[in-house]
Amino acid sequence: MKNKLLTLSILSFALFSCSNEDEVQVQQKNDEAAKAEIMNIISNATEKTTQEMEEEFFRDNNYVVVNPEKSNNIVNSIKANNTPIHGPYTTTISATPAGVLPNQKIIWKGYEYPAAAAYVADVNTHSVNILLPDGAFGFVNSMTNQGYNDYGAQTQGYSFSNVIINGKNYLNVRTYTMKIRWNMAGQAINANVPSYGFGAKSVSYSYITP
Amino acid sequence: MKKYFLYTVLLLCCNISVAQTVKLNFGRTISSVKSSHADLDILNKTINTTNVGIGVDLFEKENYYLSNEINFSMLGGKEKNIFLEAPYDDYSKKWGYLSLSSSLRYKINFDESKYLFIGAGPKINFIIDSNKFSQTLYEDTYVMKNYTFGVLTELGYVQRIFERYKVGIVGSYSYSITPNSKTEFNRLRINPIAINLTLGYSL
Repeated sequence: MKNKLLTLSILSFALFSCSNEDEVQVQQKNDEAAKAEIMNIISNATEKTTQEMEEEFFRDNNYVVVNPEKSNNIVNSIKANNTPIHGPYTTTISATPAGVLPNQKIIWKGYEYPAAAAYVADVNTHSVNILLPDGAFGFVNSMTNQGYNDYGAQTQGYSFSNVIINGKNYLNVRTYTMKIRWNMAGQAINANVPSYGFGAKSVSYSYITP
Repeated sequence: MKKYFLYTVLLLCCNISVAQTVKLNFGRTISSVKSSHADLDILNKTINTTNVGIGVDLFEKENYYLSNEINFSMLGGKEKNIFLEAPYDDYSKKWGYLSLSSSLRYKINFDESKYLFIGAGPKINFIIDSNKFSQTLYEDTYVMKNYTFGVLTELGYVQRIFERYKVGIVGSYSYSITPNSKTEFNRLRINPIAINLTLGYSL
């Protein structure tokens, strides 16, 4: 009887030990799986740019981003989603430049004729002031026949800003073209650049009110 | 260059041998580059530099004399370009020149010790610097000529201060007849205005 009891006790202990070991092994497997999953998430994660993080923040916080790259002031370029957007409306910028700065020296990048070098050019500003309601914030959706947004960088595009003129609120939209007149030797060039930027420009714009 | 230097020394020796007065000049020169192309402003703003020189007065008569001078000056110009970034937004360029001039001066005598004069004569400018337009927008387009011919006009006042010494102030304008640099479509000239103080010693 004593021997049987001793044998039973040993068996029970052995069984208990085996059962506990399995639990430990399962726990270890779970931990390893979790670690593997975390490592998998980390290894598959892509680095986000500041702009992407900003956009994610605005989206998560119920904001709509209105062309942040077109504005100098990020605070002015975001509005809450529930703000009504008026538009889009359409206006036209005349093919005739609003202003010309004649005989300016430029470093031409040579994206089209003539070859890259320093030249003397007339810099044309094509712009329009669109009257907006007081306090409204306007932005441009699109423009046809875009010139340069920056005559120095000579990249296609346009720029806009909200300006107050004589107490009235305007959306100023502008783009630039150039007439390359002379090379530095004095030879006439007379090339209108960018070739895609001439003609009247149709501007689609909207505005939001507070 | 050696040849020009030897000619200059020879000319100076010949001048001194017949000179009645030797003189030392120093002052300021205002210069800029004039472009014949109306729409091409190349280094068109003025720069102000120092010039020094030596000279002799020859054949001195009651109402006229000949003034031969050798001057060193830095000539050039500067420009501002609102559409360009540094270094081309605001920069200057100047070249060293040695000028030989011979001016016939007509005297208007106040008394025995002081007189006003007007003068005119030929002038030759030799560039003694690199003739390149390095570090400018025109580096690949223009090269300075080694020498230019021009005309010198002068207006001045001279006063004897001791028996053999005299001092004066001279304003001059030089016009380059031959261009300092040119392309098929454009000619560049430097026409400096100078104001000099002169100290003379009668031999």
